[in-house]
Amino acid sequence: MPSPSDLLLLADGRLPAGGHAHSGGLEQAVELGDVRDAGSLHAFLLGLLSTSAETQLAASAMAAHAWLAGDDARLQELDAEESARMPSAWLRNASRAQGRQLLRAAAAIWPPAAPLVLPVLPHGPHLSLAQGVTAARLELAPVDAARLAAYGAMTGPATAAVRLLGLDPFAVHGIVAQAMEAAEPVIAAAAEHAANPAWLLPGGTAPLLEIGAELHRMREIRMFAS
Amino acid sequence: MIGGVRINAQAGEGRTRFVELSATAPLGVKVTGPHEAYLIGTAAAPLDGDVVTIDVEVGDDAELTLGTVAATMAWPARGEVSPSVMIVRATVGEGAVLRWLPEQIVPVQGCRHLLRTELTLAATATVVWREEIVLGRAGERPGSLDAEMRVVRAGRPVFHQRLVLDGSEAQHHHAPSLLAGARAVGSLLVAGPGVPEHCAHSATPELRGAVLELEAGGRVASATAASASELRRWLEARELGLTPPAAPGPDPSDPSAAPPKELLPR
Repeated sequence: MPSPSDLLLLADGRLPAGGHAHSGGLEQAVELGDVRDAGSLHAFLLGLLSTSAETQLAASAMAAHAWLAGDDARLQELDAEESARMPSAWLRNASRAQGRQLLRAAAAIWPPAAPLVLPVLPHGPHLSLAQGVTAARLELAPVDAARLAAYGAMTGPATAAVRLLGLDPFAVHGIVAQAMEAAEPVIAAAAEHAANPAWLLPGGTAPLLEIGAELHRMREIRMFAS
Repeated sequence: MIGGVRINAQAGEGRTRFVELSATAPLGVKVTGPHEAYLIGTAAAPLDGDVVTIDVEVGDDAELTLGTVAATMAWPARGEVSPSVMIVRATVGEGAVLRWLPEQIVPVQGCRHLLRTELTLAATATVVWREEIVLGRAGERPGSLDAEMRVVRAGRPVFHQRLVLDGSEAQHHHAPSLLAGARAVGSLLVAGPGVPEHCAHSATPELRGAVLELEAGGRVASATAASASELRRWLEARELGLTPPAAPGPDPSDPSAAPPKELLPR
């Protein structure tokens, strides 16, 4: 029986789906000295919202729509389109690893409804596609799938900033609240365009996120996987 | 102003055969070598409201290198409500090679410029595609720029990126996840059969860059830099191994090598 609380479970940072191991690029931004305090963290998040996070939340909404429509071909196209927008192999690996983990967690939490693997994406879907499919499987709407992806894209770097920079957790959660408010129009647009063909997926690029991911991979000591 | 260039290059005996080579203001075109042509600005353009189209077709087994003689300045126009639009479309056939190595794009403060690049590759096509954006002239902030590029090979998306500078006082693009105060940003896409592997990265205050391996084949050298020259130097070194034996020239990895514009006949 689907429950509206499923969205809260999915979005919770304590969901055992491996999200805590990733900083969404923040660790490298701290290493480069670009994120130092609450203000630069806020700017980092807003930068993502117009680029990679917009792509992710739109992909999540489109994947939810495609799953509800039983359109496997569109899921495959979405996966390829998201990869074309994620030139860093390291970022793609992190995204697919989290996608696989989310499917595995959802299969264990909500048996037998959730799929353990998507046969159309045998290498594991991107995280945003796993979010969209899982949300749709739990009878959540594409707008919920978009909000889930947005929340993950904002809280991942934000909670990493608390650990890496020792920022005040209250201040950081204030920033997350502001970022999610800024995300609302982006979420609404993603839901509105959830039926779009895959190639219309937004393609905003965050150059230092992609470059930073490769620099991060070279580091000998890392707290986060990405 | 509405104008542009149309080029249709086909394989010929020892040199590229230009089936079509036409230009209207604000652009001209001149053949400068057996497999090479340059685009020449013939007016101060693009200004807000201008539409410039560059259409390039490289037929099966043909080879073409395209450059521009100077940077493209996108200018504001007083009272104009539309942005300037530049559309670049290229189709590269089986076994064909296209090198697009233009000078920089400079969105001048106050301009609104829209750049759309569509690259359609056959399964065995090779492409080297450079795009460099300088964030305004010295001492000014950039105008607003929306540059989107999409590369499709045999129907499959290979690379898709969109860079937006909002041109505002707040300079949103300086966010730590985007450009973090860099003055120049650019990429060099290299894709095709037999392209050598190339790995590099840099994290100096002047240049942050990495070579990114695309899932659908090929690589993109991507960098942000403190200056246009730093960016060019790093991207040129990423062209290593791509100079074809048929076209000997200055070593692209050598920063002291003559810039391409000096190869032009005067």
